[in-house]
Amino acid sequence: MATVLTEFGILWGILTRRVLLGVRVGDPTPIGRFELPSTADLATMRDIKAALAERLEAGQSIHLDASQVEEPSTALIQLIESAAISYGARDLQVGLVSPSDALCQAYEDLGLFGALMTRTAAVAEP
Amino acid sequence: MTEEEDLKRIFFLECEELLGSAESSVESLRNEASPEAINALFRSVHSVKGGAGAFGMDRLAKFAHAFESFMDLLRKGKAELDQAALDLLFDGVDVLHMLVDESQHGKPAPAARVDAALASLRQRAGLEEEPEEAEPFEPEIPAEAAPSNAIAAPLRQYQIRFAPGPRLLAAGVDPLLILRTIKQLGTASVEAEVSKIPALAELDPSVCHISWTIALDSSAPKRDLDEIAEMIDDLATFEIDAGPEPDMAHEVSPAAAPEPKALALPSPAAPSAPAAKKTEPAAPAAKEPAADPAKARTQATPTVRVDVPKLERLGNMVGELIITQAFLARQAAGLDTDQYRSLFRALDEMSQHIRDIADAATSIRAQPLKVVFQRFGALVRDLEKATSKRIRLEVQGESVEIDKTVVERLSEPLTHLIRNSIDHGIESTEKRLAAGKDPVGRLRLSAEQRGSHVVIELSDDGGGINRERVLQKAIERGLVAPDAQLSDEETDHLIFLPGFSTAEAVTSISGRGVGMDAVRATIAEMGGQVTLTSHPGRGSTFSLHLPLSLAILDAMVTLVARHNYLIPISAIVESLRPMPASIVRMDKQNPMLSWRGSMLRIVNLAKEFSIPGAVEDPTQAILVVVRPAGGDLFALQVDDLIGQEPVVVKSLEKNYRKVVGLSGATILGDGRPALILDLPSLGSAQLGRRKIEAPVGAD
Repeated sequence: MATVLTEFGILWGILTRRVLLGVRVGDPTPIGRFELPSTADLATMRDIKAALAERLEAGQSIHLDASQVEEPSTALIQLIESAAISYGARDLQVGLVSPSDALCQAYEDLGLFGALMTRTAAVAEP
Repeated sequence: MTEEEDLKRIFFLECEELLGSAESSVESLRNEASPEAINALFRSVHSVKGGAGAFGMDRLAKFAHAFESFMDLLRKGKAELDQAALDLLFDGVDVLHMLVDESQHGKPAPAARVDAALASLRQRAGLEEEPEEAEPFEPEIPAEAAPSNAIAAPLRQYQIRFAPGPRLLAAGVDPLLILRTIKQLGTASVEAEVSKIPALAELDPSVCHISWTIALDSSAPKRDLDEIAEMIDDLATFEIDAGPEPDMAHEVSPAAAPEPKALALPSPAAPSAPAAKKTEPAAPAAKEPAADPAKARTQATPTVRVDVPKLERLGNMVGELIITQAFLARQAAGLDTDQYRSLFRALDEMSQHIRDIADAATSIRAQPLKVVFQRFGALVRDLEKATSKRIRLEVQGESVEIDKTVVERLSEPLTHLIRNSIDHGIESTEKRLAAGKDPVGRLRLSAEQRGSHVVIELSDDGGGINRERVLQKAIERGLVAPDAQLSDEETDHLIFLPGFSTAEAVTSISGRGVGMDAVRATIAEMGGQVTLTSHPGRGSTFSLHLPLSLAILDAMVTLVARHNYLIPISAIVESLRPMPASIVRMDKQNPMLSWRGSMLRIVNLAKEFSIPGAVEDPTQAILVVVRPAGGDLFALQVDDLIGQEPVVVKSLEKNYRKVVGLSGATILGDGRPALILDLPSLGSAQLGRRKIEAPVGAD
């Protein structure tokens, strides 16, 4: 049931250009929160990128809730790392919250376990 | 230490190995006059001679030269390997030992023995009476002299450069899958190059900007990687830099050597397959030398000598790592697993890596039992002469490896057991013939690994334990009550009691003041156990159960009152909180556990160690059913189970004193000391009937 709802949410997001489940547009807090979908294909990726860029423009660090990621991909991880570069250039952070085992394994398999630690540490920091 | 002293030290270490090998060769020649054994013995003696000549150890060099000359005749078929020659070879190796000892420690070798052996060898070799000069030092050891147990690892090293092209992702190929496929082929170390990832605004999510360098150790053939390369032929650069073939580890011709790595990415238009082919070693050139078996042996895995103190230090540091890891795990236990998922993952990884390091450190310390077993051929021969009995020694499992410390300490108890078997177990030739047995007694020494233990067995086909006499002696010495009702097994085990000896007179063979109790104590100090099975008229078998490593133990942490006691995980069969109906009270003092159709003795740790404040009622406590290596099942009563933890075993005896019922101590992850239970002694029936001495407080 949860998967169905998540997939419905992604579809709704794609249709509305607001794919980001959990994004609270207009959130007054300095750190945005964003829930990564369970699956991220290339089409979804472009929408995630747009949303990340939108947050960046707003000058907010962002915490990506990665607990629901079931089928991670190189493209998704590359996108997160690309965002981290851009956010870092503006002294902002991209943090990963509760990354799923699948995402952790993907980071490790890609030889990016150090990057995963950096992203999760960004969340743990006060 | 000067350079020469260092070289001498290495030479003496080599002598130890060479003479060990020589002993094995002579022992082998006793059974069969094989050319391999003759050649092996020749090479060993030749190597000793070369080193001795180089260091000016004249007596050793001259003797080795005469020995080598005789061996040369034997291997050329110009001398006969009769019994006299065989005796001379045995004697020659013994004298070589003495002369090496003389050169190393200054302990003079008996001149008469050396001269007699030298004269015999010279005579058999047809050498002149006047001693000849030893041949000049020949540093190169013949190809065949490579250690026979050095085996080339079958792994091949690959260096792979994987750079996705712009169309790879769009084509539906995820590099993650490629990397996972590679990882399945062996042990891979993946290094990602992320510097080309653009900023978010410039990123096209359909293009992969990450590339990878993968170091792969794999036994898979290169064609497996070629298949991956072909699969993504036009979509990525996939360069394979294959290391030498496994059997070519150390002799790769320049033509076969890998070319310098070509790391520049070819354009997407350039297919990657040719690049892969370009870096492949020239296979025919690489395979050719392996056809020569002698050369193949020289290509064995290289070895390096390491001082034992350095190994000890490595072991200690690994121990500290384990303690630190356990501390971190305990500290992290209170954190939210969701929030710190990656931390927990890293801790898990670290734990695995530390375990791998510990295993590697353990394997470095491991030595084959051959080191100690090979000494017993000479011992049995000496005992044959001393007792006028005929004995055939059969050895199996020499290649089983165990911690170096165990190997070093095994010699004495095994020597005593062998002496005991020949002196008391195997009958005289006359008695054997009268009993319809083979006049040649059989002594079998074997070893095999069983789980985390090594079991060494010494069996003889002698008369078995004379139970009547054993019991009588035990009663005479006040070790058991005159009216004691003992089972056969309990009677047999009386020989392990301190001070017990059935020898009518102290003999020069087994009555040397080292009783069977000392054998049991030595084995117990190493965390092991000795068991005995005997069949009247058919012989006896002593079984030594020893842990593979003395240093690291997987343990269950238990709580008794406020003290922690550790139980080796390998011995745990089950833990349970018993139902009242499972507890059977034969008497008030000794409840038993009815468990799966058996009645198990309950050892209440609180009672055994006089610990106040512990749970008394077994139905309110936890019972841990254990089976010590080679022992019987029994149940340990504790208050609670805390959890599993790898621990570093520290000697209680060295730091405090020997305590019956405990095999060592350790520091837990929370910094508290804990005591490690000695299950064999806790489980022994004798112990169960007497109080264990005062406990050592865990804190």
